[in-house]
Amino acid sequence: MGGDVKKNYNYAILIVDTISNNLNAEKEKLNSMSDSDNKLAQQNKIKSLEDQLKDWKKIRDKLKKEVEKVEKIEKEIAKEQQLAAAANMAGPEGVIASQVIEQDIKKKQSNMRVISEKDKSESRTKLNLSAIAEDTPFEEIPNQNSTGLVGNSQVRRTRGPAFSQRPASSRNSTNNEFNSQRDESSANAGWQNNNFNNSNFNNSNSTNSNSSRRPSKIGGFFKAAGSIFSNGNKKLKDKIEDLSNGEFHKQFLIESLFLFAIIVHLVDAFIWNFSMSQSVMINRVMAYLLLSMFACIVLNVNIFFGLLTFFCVVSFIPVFLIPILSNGLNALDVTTNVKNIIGTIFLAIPVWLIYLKYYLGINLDYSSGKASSKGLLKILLRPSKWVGAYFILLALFFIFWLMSTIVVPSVSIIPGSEDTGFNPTASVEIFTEFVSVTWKNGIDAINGIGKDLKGDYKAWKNDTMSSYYTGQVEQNTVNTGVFITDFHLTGTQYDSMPVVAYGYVRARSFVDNVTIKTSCYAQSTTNKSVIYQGVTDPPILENIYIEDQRGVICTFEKPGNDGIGTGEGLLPAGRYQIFLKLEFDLETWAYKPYFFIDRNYLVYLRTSGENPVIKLGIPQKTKTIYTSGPVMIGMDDALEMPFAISSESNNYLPLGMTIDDKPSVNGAKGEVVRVHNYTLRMPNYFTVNKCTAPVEPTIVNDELVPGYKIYTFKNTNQNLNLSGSFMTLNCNVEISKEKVSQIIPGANTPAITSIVGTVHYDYKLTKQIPLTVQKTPGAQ
Amino acid sequence: MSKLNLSNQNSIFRIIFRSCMIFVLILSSLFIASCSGNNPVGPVNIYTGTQGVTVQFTKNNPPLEIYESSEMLILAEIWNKGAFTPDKKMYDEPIMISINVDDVYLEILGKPTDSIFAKDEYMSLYLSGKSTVWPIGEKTIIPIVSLKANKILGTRETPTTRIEISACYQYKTYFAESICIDSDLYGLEKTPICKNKNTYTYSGQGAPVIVNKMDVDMIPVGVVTDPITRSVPIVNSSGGLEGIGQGIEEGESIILRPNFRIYFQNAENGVILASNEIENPCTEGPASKGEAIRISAMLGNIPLTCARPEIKMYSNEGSVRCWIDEKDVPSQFELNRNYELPLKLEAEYFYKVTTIRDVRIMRVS
Repeated sequence: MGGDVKKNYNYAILIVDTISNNLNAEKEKLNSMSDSDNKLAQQNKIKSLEDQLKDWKKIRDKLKKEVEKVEKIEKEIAKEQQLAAAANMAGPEGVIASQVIEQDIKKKQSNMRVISEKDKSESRTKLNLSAIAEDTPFEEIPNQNSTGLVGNSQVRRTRGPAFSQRPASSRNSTNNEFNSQRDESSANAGWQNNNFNNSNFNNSNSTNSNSSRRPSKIGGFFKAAGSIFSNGNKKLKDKIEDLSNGEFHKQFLIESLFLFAIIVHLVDAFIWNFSMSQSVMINRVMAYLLLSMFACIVLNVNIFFGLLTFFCVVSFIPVFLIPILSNGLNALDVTTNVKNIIGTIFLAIPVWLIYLKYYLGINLDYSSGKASSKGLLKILLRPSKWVGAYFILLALFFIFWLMSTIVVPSVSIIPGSEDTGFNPTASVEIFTEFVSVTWKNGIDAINGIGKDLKGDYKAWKNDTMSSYYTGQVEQNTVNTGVFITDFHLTGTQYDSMPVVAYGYVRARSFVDNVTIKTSCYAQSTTNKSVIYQGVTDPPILENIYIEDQRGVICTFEKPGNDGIGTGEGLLPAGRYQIFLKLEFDLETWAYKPYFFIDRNYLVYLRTSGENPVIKLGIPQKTKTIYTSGPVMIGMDDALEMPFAISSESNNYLPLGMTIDDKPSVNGAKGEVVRVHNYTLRMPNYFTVNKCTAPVEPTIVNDELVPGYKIYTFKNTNQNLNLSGSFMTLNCNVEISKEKVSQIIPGANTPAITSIVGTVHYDYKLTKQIPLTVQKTPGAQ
Repeated sequence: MSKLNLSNQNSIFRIIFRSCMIFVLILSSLFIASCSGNNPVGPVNIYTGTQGVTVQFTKNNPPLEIYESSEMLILAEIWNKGAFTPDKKMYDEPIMISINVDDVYLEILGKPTDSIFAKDEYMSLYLSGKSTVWPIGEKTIIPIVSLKANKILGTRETPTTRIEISACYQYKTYFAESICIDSDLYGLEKTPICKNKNTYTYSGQGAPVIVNKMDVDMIPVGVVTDPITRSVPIVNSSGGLEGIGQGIEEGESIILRPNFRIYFQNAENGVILASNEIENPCTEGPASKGEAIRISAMLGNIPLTCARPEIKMYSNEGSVRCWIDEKDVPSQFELNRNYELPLKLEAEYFYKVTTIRDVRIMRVS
């Protein structure tokens, strides 16, 4: 393998020297010429030779580098062979080590083969072209030395002054062993089989025929075919060659597996959306199991080891890591923006897919199922065309998905226009809209991160000041609150027609029926002060309870004679953003359990070295659970349990409650417009002593929970909203010593008591989409 | 020829007979083996194990998920797995069962809402402990109380809350050990009746508070000179025996005072409640005295004196040193002979065990 490269390098040196000598000879001839016509021809010939010389020098330099590489690998192999031999001597462990080294040697030899093949294909092509162009065979090259340095006398031409002047017929009929055999070898496999080997090179003549020699015409055909083949279809040819030894078969199957894996991944990303619902989970696990089985069969991997490995590797990230991470993020109440970004990263960088293709496809020892740890690093450091191919497929899939959503019965906007079922204009519109919205969402996400960081900073800052409390959102089967699930336009919008946008609103509440006031408007993108008010139908969504989805139609049209509408278009041609705005009032609730215990008993436990948490079977810190919605309520999460109270003196419980807004979901923008009031529900035996609220609370008995009171803090500040800020209520709750015996349930048992906080507020939810209004065709 | 045939027939019969015998033997041995059994007939030692009265929810009650505004009867399995039977000799309520819930989510029906832990709100129970005729102890499944899940407050979808049931009872640990009174301090006796082991370890006596270790020391507190009258031969000058007379021999005896260090351990997850002679800590509200047990011990018929009658438990462990008062040291302790005496000990305490179940409350709508 390495010898071939060196040999080729020697040939390249030889050819360069030959052409160089010829060039010098031709130049001398030119100097001795007197006839101007002959001089011109001679100059052309020299120019041609100079071009050839330039090309061959390039090849020679390239080959020189390859030779250096090969020599380096050879040295490494020699060293490793010594190591392997030494390891073999060292007993059973050494044998294993030597096997590993031998595998490495095989890899290096494989690399050398790759270099050799690459070198062959490139230099062979050049040699063919060069030989055809030169049109002169070598007759004899005596005294070729090992360095390839030959003098002028080493090359002789049989006839004619220069290579290019040699007629083709003469070339074929006379001793053209070099060309014919070289071209045949191009059509066959090995560079080492061509006539550049020393024996044929030195002794080629017409009488020295062998089975590979072809008649001149046939030789020409093979020469041409070989040229084409070696020029354009080298890889295909190599693959066909590899087919004989099974390499192509394996490679083909690996690539099929890779494509199948891509499809599974894309389905997972686009259709399942990395969801963790039970049915999707089952589907996903089945898909990846199938994929793993396929991989085992394709790669001929040990079924037990392979199935486990493949399934773990292939399915780990999408099946387990993303959903768990997502769930974990939910549990940690990480914002939607961060979750979206993480999901996007996993979609864009299919680590496991690259792993499958490169790590398992190349570095796996198929028989034993062992893999080299260097493989993954190699893949990560050197991503190649397959990564690019993945992104191309991703784009194609996306376009396909987009088109499939567009190919819907399009609405005939213009009377009389044909409904073709596929509206290219609409598709462009939707695509523009999609890009615009996606871009906006991306910007929002980045802003959201900024806001998150700002919120984190606020939390940190206020945490240090002990006035920012956190909570954990309740994990619902379906989130409570109000959501704009969809807002879209259909078809092309013209300035002569009303523009109609369709929105879907979903709301879920357990307490009261939600009433939502709807409105919409369009804002020009070129002049943001230009705003057109639309009409929504219905203007108020009433009695939404439990879980309900309602449609909202937003229409932009000029009022008619009756003052309602005429169908005339309101929006002039141009680009707009349409906003659907929902206004409603909501409540968010938070629940914080406490465990109270007798102080003396707690002191006893502490002094006797016992952990009261373990002894009493209670959590060290109780979490505040708040209901899902646009607002977060946090309550004293830092307070450690159990909280000790004593019958010997009055007790004071510090109680804090923070109310903060949260980023909205589904690309909508939300804002707490006004806080109406906030409440605290606590047992009768608690008395709110003092609070940081600007108003005194009103106290009423709780009709829902016997033995509880409700402290309501009404907000008198009309402008109090939570936009970019939060509010914290700190109270001092007194527990009378006389009541302790009623609270503590017998000896050494903690009392379980919950305190419930609520906030009632007005909320505004907005979602926007882009709109392009075109001039009506034919209109002036 | 006929002799040969006869001989052959005999040998065949012999083989069949032998085979049958072997089969019968195997069958018999199987029967015998099956009759021998693994449970030796004899008295059952009930003073083993570390459990007292236990309380458990039944498998499906209360259910893990309940609906708002629904009612349910809470059942519990109460089982006296220990060797003592709490009875009414001490208090009117031998075993008291109580329940603890969060009022926001659950309401106890038929009870005052302010506090459910007044004296009259306990349910008392009588259950026999383990005995030779009832070696597993008495158990019962009883309805504790009716609970109603409140309508879920606010917008929460499925809150989770806990239900706690506790059993509080007075209990006793009985402990007995044969103690070797080892006066052979210098190992002079070639074949002593017994030897003091110095340290004894135990794993349970059929109660949640156990004696898990005991150190026994035989402390010499003095030596007494004890003249002994003995029969002495009277010998004449020629060496002949003239008769038997009485003589006095001067002897010395070691006075021993056995000393015990007894270690106690709360071997279960329950809580020991300190008490006095008057109050029942199960009903008297918060315990401020920590965890303590009271003990009494006797060595043979001699009551032991302990460093303190009430042992405070720290980190579930406590120990006390007990000994025999100087005035009670009996004369036989002075003899240079080893012998055994039974040590009997009673530890008395209140104990409370709790079981917890988390339940999810589901919305009806």
